[in-house]
Order: sequence, then structure tokens, then C-alpha cells
Amino acid sequence: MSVIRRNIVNDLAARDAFVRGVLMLKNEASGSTTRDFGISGPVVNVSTYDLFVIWHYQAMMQATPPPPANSQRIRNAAHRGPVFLPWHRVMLLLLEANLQRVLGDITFGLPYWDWAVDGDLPQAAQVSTPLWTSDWIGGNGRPVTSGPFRFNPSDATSWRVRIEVGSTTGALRSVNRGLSRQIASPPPGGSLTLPTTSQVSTALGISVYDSFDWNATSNGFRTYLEGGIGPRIHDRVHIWVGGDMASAASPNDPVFYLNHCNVDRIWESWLTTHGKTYLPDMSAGAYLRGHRIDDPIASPLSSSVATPRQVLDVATNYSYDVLP
Amino acid sequence: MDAKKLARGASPANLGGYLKKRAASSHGHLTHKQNSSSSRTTTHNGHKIVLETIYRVTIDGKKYDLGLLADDQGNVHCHSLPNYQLQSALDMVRAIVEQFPDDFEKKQKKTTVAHKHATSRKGAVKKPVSKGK
Repeated sequence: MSVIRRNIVNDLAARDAFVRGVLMLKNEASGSTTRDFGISGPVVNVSTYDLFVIWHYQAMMQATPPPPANSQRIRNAAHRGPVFLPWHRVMLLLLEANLQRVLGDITFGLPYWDWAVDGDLPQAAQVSTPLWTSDWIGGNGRPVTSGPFRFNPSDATSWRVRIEVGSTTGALRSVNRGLSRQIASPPPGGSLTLPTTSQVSTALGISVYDSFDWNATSNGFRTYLEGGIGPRIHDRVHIWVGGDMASAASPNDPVFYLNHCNVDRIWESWLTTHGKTYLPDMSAGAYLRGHRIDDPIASPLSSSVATPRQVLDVATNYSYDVLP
Repeated sequence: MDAKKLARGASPANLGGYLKKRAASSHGHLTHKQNSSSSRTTTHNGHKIVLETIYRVTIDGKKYDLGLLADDQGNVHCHSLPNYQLQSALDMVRAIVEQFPDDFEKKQKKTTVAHKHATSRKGAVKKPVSKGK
């Protein structure tokens, strides 16, 4: 069944279902513990929600191709290369499927946050939109103390970050703390502003998906949208929210999915305008394995199900209420 | 994408099983210690050039391996903050300190004791202990 993904600010039913479903996944035991994934620190049960945190981290640490020919600084299985958009599309599809399952609603579609509309506002107004209020996803803080993902030290069922990345090891470790946001902090640690609709329009005007040498700064739509060149669109959203959203464990903050759903929406608009094309094709060298059109996407899905080619047309799965 | 295959692949058991295999096959190498230095290579006018960059970072007198890497464009990259791409390595360290304050908290014990003595002797108004950013 094809579902419709809607703007979270305009659709309160989508908002409420998203929050409810995310809280359910956060409290659903996956049957695994942190030890099963080699995560340091106290051994704790891993929720279904936190499996996605681990998945994102593992893909980020998977250099493509593996060392010594490459390292994560060039490209990895989910970022800094052409597969950035297909990999995150698959991630969203799998989260959406889990949300549908726990909500018992196969019509549920992930909502998106159209941050470019907020980016057109004056700087001071960008931080005071409804999204960051208690009725939506809560506000700023270390820890966040408002909204559905607030931290309450006396309530073990309140939102807890249980897996984080250590800055001095680069490895995952188990923790028990509240969610962290440092919204609109000044550079270099933060970003004062969000991307704008004009910048999104510029991205959509780039006709080439990606180009040699297929890395973080190659010329093309993918790189411009991911943030390696130009106004750093997607990267800037992570940095603007800050805190957990800035780290390699960024899916710890549910706004990760609202951000990436909007990134995916922009890609869908590009595919509609420029055709369902992708680069590189399979004539590219083995050093691009993991990024070519028929290479398996680093995911639990089989290679016959998840490749960049397989996710270019998702009309049978979902559509967006409005494309930019 | 086939909805049934998608639903099967999305199950927590399937996703967890996949991630366990990935973790096991990494043999504990999912850290940035293996890549704390950058080796950039190119050829120019028939010469093969290798440029190695190693960042040795000390914060408050303590050495840290922060996994800073230089890419071919000279930008500094870091595993723990994957969305940052800065021209200044100093700015990257500043960003890390800002985003991971708990990893770099100064020990406050001596300051606190001295502060208590000062306040008890002079009856001064208590001031918050500085957190050293």
C-alpha cells in the first residue's frame, strides 16, 4: 500500500502518530543487548528504536571500499558518496514499516519537517517555531526537558539516550541520560541558521546527480544536498539542532527522521524533474563498490530488494503531499 | 519495493541479526583509532606524492585521539561529528569540545575545596564553580 508522507507542522494526526510510534519503538525490547553489538559500558537491553542508532553508526564506519584503499574520510556505506540518498531512503522505509507495525496502521506515513520554510524566517524566529514546543517534539536543552522526548530522572520510562558515540574513541558506548540539543549555537560547534527555500531550489536545478570523484565534495545534486559543497544543506540541519543530532549517533534524536524525510522529499522532487536516474552505473571501478547503481545497500534487506536502482521508484510505497 | 519483503526485512529480529553479524565481522575495529592519521596520495608531473597528516591533540594537558582526518581538499573531518567539514583543525577541536562537554569536563575538586575555604573564611557570597569551556 502506498502511504502519503505529510508535513508534521500541518498534520497533527501524523505528528501524534509519529510521536506515539517512536515512543513505542523506544520501549520495545529488540531481544538483543549492547553486548551483542560489542558496545562498551554497562550491558543493557537494546530497543527496536536503538537498533536504528546502531545501524546508522555501523554504516558510517563502513569505509567503501575498505581500508587501506580508503577510509571513512572519503566515503562510507551511507555518507559522503552517491549512496547517501538511497541508503537513507531504505532506513526511512524500515523505520516507517516498524512504526506501522507498532501503531497497527498500514496507512501511517512518516512526517517531514520542511526546515527550509523555517530557514526563510529571521534568525531569531527560526528557533521559536511550533515544532520546538512541548506539543510537537520539545525544545532545547542538555537534557531536553520539554515535550514527549523530555528527560525525567525519576521516571525510567522517560526518553533516555542509551547508546552514544564517544568523542575520544569514536566507538559506541552504553549510557543512561537525557536527549541533548544545542539549537542554533554559534559556529564552529553550531549553526545560527537553517537552509533556505532558495538554496533548496538551487539544489533542484542541478541536473547531474553526482560526478567523479564521487566523494564528499564532488560536483552534483547529491553533494550539494548532503552538504559537502554549497550552503551545506543537510549537514547544516544536523549542526543547527546540535547535541545528539550533531554526532554519529544522530538517530538518537527523533528529529533525525523528520530531517531525513525532508531530504528524501527533495530527492523525490529531483527524480520527478530530472528523471529516475542515478550515477555511477556498474561500469565504475570496484573502488566505488557500495555506491554503484546495482550494488547492495548496507542494510538487512537482500541485494535483490535494496539497491540504488530498486529505490529510485517508490510510488508503490509512498508519496509526498507536496514536493518542493 | 515489495512491501512484504520490506516488512520481513524490517523486523527487529532481522535488523538485529544483521547488525550483530556486522559487529562481529568488524572484530572490534569500529573505532577511529585505526584511522587517526590521513594519507593522501596523488600523481603530479609524473611524480607520485604521498602526504601524511597526523593530528596530536592536547586539551587541558591531556592527550586525546579525536580521530581528526584531512581529506583531499584539505578539509578536516571527524568520525564523531560526521556532518562537520571544517577548514580549521582548531575549529574542529572547538566543535568537539562544545558538542561533547562531558568528555572534557575539568576536575573541579581542588577548585571546590579552595572555594569553600575562601567562602568560609570571608563569608563571601557563593559563586558557581566555573566549568572551563
